[in-house]
Amino acid sequence: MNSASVIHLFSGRHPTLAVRPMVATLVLPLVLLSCLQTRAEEAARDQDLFNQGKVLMFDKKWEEARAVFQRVIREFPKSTLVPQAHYFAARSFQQQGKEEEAVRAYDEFVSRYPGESYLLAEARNSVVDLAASLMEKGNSSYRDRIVAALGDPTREVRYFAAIRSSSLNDRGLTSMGIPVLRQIVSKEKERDLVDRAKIALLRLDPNALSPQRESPERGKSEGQVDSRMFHIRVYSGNATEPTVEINLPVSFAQLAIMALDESKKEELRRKGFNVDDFWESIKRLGPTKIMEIRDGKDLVKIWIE
Amino acid sequence: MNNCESFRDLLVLYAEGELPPEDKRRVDDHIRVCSLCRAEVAKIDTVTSWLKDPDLFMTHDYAWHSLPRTLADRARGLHTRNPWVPSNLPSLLWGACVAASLLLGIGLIWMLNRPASAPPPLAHQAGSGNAAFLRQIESVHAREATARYLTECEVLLLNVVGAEKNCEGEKHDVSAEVTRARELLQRKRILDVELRAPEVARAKDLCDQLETFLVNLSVSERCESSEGLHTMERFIEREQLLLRIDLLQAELS
Repeated sequence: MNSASVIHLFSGRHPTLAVRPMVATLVLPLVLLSCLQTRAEEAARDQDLFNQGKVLMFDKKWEEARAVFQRVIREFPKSTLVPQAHYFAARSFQQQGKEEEAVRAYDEFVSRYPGESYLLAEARNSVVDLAASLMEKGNSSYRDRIVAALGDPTREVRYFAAIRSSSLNDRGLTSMGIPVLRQIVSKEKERDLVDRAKIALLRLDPNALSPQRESPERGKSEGQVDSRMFHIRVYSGNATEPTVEINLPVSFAQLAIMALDESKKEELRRKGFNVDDFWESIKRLGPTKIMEIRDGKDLVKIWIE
Repeated sequence: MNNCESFRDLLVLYAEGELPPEDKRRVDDHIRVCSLCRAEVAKIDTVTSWLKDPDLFMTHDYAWHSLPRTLADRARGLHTRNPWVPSNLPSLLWGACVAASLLLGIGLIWMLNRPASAPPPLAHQAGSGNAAFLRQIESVHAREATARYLTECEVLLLNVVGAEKNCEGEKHDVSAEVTRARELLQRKRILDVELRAPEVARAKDLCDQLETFLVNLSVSERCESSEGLHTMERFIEREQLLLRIDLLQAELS
């Protein structure tokens, strides 16, 4: 029974049948049920197909996975899974190493589904990652994508662009990321993110984390944070100028100690310091007292203030 | 015209040394014998020496007392010449000011138009030593961050496997796991920068597989079907994700 017949039944204007209200009452629910069933079957089919694509992704069969996601888009254009299928198709390109195709696919996803808040940020971050990777391979035409991401209104995208671009060999671009890295350091709490931003800043300027280079707001927002600095100098042989001269926030002291050569750490242990928990040793060190260790020809001076 | 008159017009040029050699010789011979012309040459020499004096036209005996005292002092000050200061000093100062302004303007335009400033160069030889030491710090951080990430992924995998059927239709409530998966995906993006370090390169493959798992979980509905959950569980078992996480953590610690 098609929809025209249903309307005729319901309106009582069917030319041949003498329609009774009772008949319509019985038939209409059956038709609705039939429609719902068809809809449910379709929903199950698009979900099945989508799941097949996911399994293929688990199996790293990216080409096949992408083909399946494109079938979901083509065969079930009204399915709620279509936005995800677009995203996963772009991701499959990325996993295959087809970077420029992946950028185009992510761009298409971003323009088609501006309301997909979570996947939208993920797609934008993927574009940043791909653009950085393409720049590393000498394709500077994607530089603008990173510049745009550094000013993205979404915090995660901005942060990722600053951290990812800090490792690029483009001083102009890395300089543009410095304010964002400083924003991460001053505003964020997540340890890995903040540490990563600090390392990126130090790579760009070894004194970037010195108190006089910090923003004035920092002290206000982080009243509890220890503002002392951990200083490390390494002198090779009898040199008067240090070969390593770095000033770090005290929270980085443990990382810096762990980064010393094993022989220098052993020397610290011999002096009674717990290298694996250097925080305790720092507290014992006291303000401005300089700890000196000599390892072969190298002299290491450590102090906090 | 007597003999002196024929020389009179030449005497000024003679005194100034401007005569041709032949005329000069003639005037020399004449003034040797003519005292009048010799005296005339002496006068011309005197006047010429006066003209060479830069203060010739300065008034020395001005009636300063007729002026108000402050004005007189200023005027005297103007007339008190310092031999080391050139007389056209004000003009030179103006010129210097204009040149300095031009230089300043050019400098400002250059400062505004130059590319974003690069960080200052590192002091002396600490530059390369600092870079090497920072790489060591990064390496330590990469190991620690990777180990923490793996630990948190392990917890999430166990939670997914043990998700309870709290949803309608015997579905599993994975809402907390979906949120966590999204957070860990953000972390993985940052970690990708670390995973380039050779010390943790071995962890990259496992972290990438975990990422695929997290991506799938991150787009799940709040309630996941048993079939969807089994697909994830099979992936965890097949890839021995939990075992590999444990082994890698032992290696990184």
